[in-house]
Amino acid sequence: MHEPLVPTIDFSPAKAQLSDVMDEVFHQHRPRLVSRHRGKERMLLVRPEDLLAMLGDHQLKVGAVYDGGEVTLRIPEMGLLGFGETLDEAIDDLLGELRVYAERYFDEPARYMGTSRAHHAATLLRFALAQEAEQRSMLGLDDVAPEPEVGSAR
Amino acid sequence: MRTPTWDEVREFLQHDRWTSDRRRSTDHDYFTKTLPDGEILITKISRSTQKTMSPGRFKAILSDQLRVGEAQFWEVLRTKTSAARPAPAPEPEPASLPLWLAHELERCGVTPTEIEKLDEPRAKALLAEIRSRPPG
Repeated sequence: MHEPLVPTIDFSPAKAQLSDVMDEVFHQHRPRLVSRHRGKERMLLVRPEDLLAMLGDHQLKVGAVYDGGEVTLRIPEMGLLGFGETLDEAIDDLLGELRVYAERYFDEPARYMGTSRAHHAATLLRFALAQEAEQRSMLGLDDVAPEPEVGSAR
Repeated sequence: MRTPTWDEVREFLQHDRWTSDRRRSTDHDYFTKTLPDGEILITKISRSTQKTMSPGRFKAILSDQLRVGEAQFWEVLRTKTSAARPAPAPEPEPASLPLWLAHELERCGVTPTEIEKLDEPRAKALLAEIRSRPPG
């Protein structure tokens, strides 16, 4: 096995010095690998805000279907739909669906990682760790090409 | 396009052997189905049992969640047997606009009824036209 490039600590000392380890991860922003069984099993400790930055932007491709006095929002890649009689209602519903999906996904990751849903993990983790406003922004609501400022009323 | 009540969608799930999920929202129940290749399908059903839905919403449910065509959906209800997958005639995706575009049009005062009539090129052209108007 290659020498780990991320600071690594064995399980027993990590357990004994958990407070110091957490200080390093949280206050010094140092990710730590915790290793046991001679490196056969490892886990990564990282501050959630740092992980969010590492994950980068994950914009969801959302489509809006208007018909019959209803708005349906789609994330076809994930098979998620948000329903509403207005766009705002559908947005709230879709955000709720994403939260339920993220909860479901991380509750049983092995079930999803072995399917075509495996590549949803990073986006869902990004969504799950984000604040509510950031979660909304992942829907691409503000994804508008810059235009000259004009009056907003028609 | 004939659209089903939520009760009929629930009946479809029963014949198509979906599993009820412990997760529930205030007005919906969730169901999952694992296909033979391991693929996981997820859908949700409104508890407004007799309420129906718009054609666009039905198409989205068929194409994105149930993964069957419209005819196949009604065939499952008629024969009370599960659907074949991959679907012989998958439901085409419903016409949709990118969310940012729909949101921006609404922000500019375009009504949902007007947006409903627009495809993406026309929606973009309308937004550009609105933006090119002089302020005030």
